[in-house]
Amino acid sequence: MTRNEEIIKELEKNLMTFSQGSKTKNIGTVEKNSDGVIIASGLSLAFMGEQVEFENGEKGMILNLDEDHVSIILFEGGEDITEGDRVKTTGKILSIIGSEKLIGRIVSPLGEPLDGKAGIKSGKSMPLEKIAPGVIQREPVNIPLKTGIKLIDAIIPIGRGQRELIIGDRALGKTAIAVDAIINQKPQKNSKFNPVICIYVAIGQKQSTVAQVIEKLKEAGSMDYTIVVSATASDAVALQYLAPYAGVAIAEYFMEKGEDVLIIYDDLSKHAWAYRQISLVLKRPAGREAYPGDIFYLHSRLLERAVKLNKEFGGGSITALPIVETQANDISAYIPTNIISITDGQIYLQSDLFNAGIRPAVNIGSSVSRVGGAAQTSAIKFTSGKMKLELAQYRELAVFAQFGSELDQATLSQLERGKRMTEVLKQPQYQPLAESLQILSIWAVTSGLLDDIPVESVRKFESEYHNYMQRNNPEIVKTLSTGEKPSEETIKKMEKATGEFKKIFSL
Amino acid sequence: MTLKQIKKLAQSSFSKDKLDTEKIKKAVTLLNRSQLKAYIKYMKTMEAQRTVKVYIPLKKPTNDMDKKIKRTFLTKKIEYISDPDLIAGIRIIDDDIIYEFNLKDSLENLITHLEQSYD
Repeated sequence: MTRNEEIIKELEKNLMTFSQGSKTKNIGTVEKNSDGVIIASGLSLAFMGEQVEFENGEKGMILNLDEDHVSIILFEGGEDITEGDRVKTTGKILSIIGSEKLIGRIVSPLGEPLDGKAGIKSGKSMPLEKIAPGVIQREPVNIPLKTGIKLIDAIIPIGRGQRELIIGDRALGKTAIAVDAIINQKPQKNSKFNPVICIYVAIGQKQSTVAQVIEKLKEAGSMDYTIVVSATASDAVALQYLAPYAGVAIAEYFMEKGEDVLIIYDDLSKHAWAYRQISLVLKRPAGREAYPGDIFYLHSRLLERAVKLNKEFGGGSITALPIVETQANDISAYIPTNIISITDGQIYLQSDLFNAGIRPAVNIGSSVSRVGGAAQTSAIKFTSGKMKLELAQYRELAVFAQFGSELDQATLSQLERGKRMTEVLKQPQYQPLAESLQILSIWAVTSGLLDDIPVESVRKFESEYHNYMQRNNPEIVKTLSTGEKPSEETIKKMEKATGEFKKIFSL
Repeated sequence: MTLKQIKKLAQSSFSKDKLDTEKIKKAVTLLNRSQLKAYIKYMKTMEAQRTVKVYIPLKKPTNDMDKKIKRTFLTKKIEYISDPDLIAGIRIIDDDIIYEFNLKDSLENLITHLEQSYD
């Protein structure tokens, strides 16, 4: 068969599935174009959220339905649209193409390529707005999603299907935690868990910031399993509003196939700003902090789409890590409190800790994971069990110790161990750690094996200790990486190996 | 006068589906410049709602076609417009609804379908 015949056959096959579709179109006339909002008369058959097309090819979405007119927000500038122009409905609600070809790509919330490569036209059309799966389709979170950050994996664990908020002031490392979590999802050969597809949604960010994140992901080889949906600050406000919904629609495409997906919304405060801007130009009544009344629903309907499906429905999951930026550490502002109440826990970053050199600057007292504990492996649960309590006690004692009063030996040793624990929990940016190595570090410090190591040498000790264990005791590392609770025998081996390393280290 | 009242005024300016000049003359004296503008706009919209535009590739409609269309849109004024671009078939515009039953639209839909099917 010649190439031409093949093409004709393929076209014939395709045309068999072609249906003429709707023979009726609904048109309207532009009455007013101001602030990126078009008021159009006609369009009597239009429905809420429907996509519309203008004469010059520009597109928009219906956000208000009134008696005589509809309000349309535009996806582009719309400077060319003037009074009297024709607009027609498309009969479609906004959707994005879901496809495996999206992996490694950077796209706009409408699915248009932003990386200079070819557009993706074939695939499954996924609606941007969709009702979240109900209780029958869900199951409790029971598989861990490891971020590679010791502090998070040990104390504030995240499970697949969870929604964990990352909250804090600007420039405290919120995005860094999210990027670390993506980097740590690199498929492992012997992992018993499914690989995770990552989606990074940039909302209202600077183009340079998004470019930096993409560069970092490329450097780490993480773009092989990551999709970036970007609506930067220079894009139309409608695109910023749609970006997280586009991201979750793509995530749902993979979830329906039984895959596990991690989605980062960076960040939802800017998303709320975008929605506030839209609402104000649409003349909707403003409420607290000028946000519209449905601002809570805006985020709850988005985050409810993060889910762990049960086996009957494919067993896929969407884990959401929304980011919220606070002003002057105020987590009691409107948007932060809303999102805290929607999510299953929060990782709270604090500037005092950041300035004191504690990075990641996570405030353990205010951070919590409500469901992730159930998903932790027995190994890390066993080692990190008493850590949170000991750290809390240390912080309380440290406050009293500031007054310089005389302290008994037990209190002093508790303070010393607390200092070492804090050191162990420090971790450089973009260097996620395997679970087995996390267990070794946490076990060593909680067992008191680091008590005689000077605080300033703890981090050096830790990195050399990891190298030593990987080189000289790979069987221990292998045993710990299974996720099973270490046996008495393994613990003895660990104690012996650590003792030997300490002798070398002290030389 | 509010926009709602102007709209009502425009509606009552018709008698038996036709513009009533006497009523219009009276109404015009009650309105200022901007209200008059709104009044004319409503009148135009109502007039458009009462007219059905039929696009056909031929210069004149056939008798059979004319009868059928008049039967379908009993209360409306029918206006025929020749558009050879349609190739074959008909396009009817009734206020803000367009009924496409022509070859041009079918071919355009086919092109869109093929464009969306292949990368």
